[in-house]
Amino acid sequence: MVGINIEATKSTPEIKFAGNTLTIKGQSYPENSVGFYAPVFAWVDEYLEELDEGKAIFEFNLIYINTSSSKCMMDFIDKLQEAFSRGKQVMIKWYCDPDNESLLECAEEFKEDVEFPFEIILV
Amino acid sequence: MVLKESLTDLKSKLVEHGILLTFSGPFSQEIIEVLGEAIQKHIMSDDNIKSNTLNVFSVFIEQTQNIRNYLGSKRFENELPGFLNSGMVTIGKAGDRYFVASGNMSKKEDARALADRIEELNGMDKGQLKAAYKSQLKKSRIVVDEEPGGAGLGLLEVARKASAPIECSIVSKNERYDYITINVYI
Repeated sequence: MVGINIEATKSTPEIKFAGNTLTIKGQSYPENSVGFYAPVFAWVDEYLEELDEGKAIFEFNLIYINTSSSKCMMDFIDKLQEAFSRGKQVMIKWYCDPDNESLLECAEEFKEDVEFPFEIILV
Repeated sequence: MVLKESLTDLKSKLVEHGILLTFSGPFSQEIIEVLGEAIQKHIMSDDNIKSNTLNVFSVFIEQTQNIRNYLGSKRFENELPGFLNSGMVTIGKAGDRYFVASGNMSKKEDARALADRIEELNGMDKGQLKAAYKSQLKKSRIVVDEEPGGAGLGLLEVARKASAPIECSIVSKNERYDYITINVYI
């Protein structure tokens, strides 16, 4: 299927797909988070649908996300959990600066609810 | 001449209150981004208070986006042109702490509701705020951005980052509108 390739702006992260990995990198505080993430989620839905035996990796490498983006991330993670429940092999690698307490805590909160592999990597 | 004098006066007031950056006017996403970038540069060069750089930025973003959403929600008639449409935000330093102060015009009932909510949050400790944030995050998993403050997370986030009770003051402008000012020490 067609990949996804969104360049970063001041308030939105870079979102790229390569191999079997979707990477979300940068800052996220768009004017309308739901509007920004809607096409990304639509792509993820389609990708997960087509995923057979393969493994899908989702890498988060974020510096700052506002509260409405956190909501979107929560929805995103729910989506992955739902796919995992249907037998899809998904995993999250969440890269985080150990000094960035807010995001580290955020990642730990997200991780609490999931059953699929969710790795927090301190960099 | 008058303008020149009042600008000098304004500048002295800004210095006196430790204000590093201030903006007054219509908030747009572009303005928020440019100011946000300035804050990141300004504060990141301050080695004394490095650990909470992102907290200052976070409070700034939540406060300004809240104001933008509120004033942009098209619930206002053109009663006080200019004033109604615009917000104000200020970032300053008091001792070894930063503060983010913001102000905007508000319907009286909304100002009251916000002041009550702030009082409620001020009465909660860090653990309670964290628990409230988590339950709010997980409660309504569909985000409705059109509804200003709908997610209710912004103010909780601000309260979590605050290092002192949030200060809130309301000044009556006319029978329907107040000017509400919120000051957060980080």
